[in-house]
Amino acid sequence: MATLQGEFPRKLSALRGLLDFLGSTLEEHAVDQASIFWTQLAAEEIFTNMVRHNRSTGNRIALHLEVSADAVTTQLTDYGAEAFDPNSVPAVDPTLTAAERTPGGLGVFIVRSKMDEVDYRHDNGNMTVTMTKYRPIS
Amino acid sequence: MTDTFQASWPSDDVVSLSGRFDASQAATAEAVLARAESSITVDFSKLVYISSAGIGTLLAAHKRLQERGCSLKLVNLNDHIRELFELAGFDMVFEIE
Repeated sequence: MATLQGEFPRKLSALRGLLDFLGSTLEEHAVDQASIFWTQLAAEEIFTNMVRHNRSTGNRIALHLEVSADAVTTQLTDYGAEAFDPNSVPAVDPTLTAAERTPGGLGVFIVRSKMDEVDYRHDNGNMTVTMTKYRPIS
Repeated sequence: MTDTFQASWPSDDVVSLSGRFDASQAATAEAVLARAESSITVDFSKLVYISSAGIGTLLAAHKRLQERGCSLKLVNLNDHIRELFELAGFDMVFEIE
């Protein structure tokens, strides 16, 4: 099991560094390309939500990454954040037409759909989202 | 490796997207797509990644063109991006080849 940690500035321009870090680290550990794609995507969606919805602090956002033979676990922690209830986000209706659609809620929908385990936890004023993607059996 | 995002017009009715289209690139793509005044094809052949923010940008351009009686078609999606569009039913919203 490999464990890596990092901190990223609370701004969208930090996404490049976050996604580069995830991509290069997971490639070094021979993680399959599909798991890398969905892990990067889920991390971006959660990171972006943290940047957009918590404007009360300039704290950096922490990343904790664990890579094992079976799974990739990505944890993002937003220090000094209000609790976020993902169940408050309306589900995406895949049958809607273009005119009926708005981009809202799509990120949470993607995370729910493509991660095998997702945990939202609010402790001591910090919001932590932990997402696990199982690696395919080789 | 940094997959730098780029959006360009290789011909009058084709927009080419390349690299990684994350949320920080939405304004760049919006500016390029805003030049579309008739039906366009968006070529994904060099695009390796897109997030919900990118899909939202394309959706806004698609709606704007539809209101003018025009269309926006997506071509050459890689397998992961195609799966993402299918996941939320965007394969039924956009014309995809």
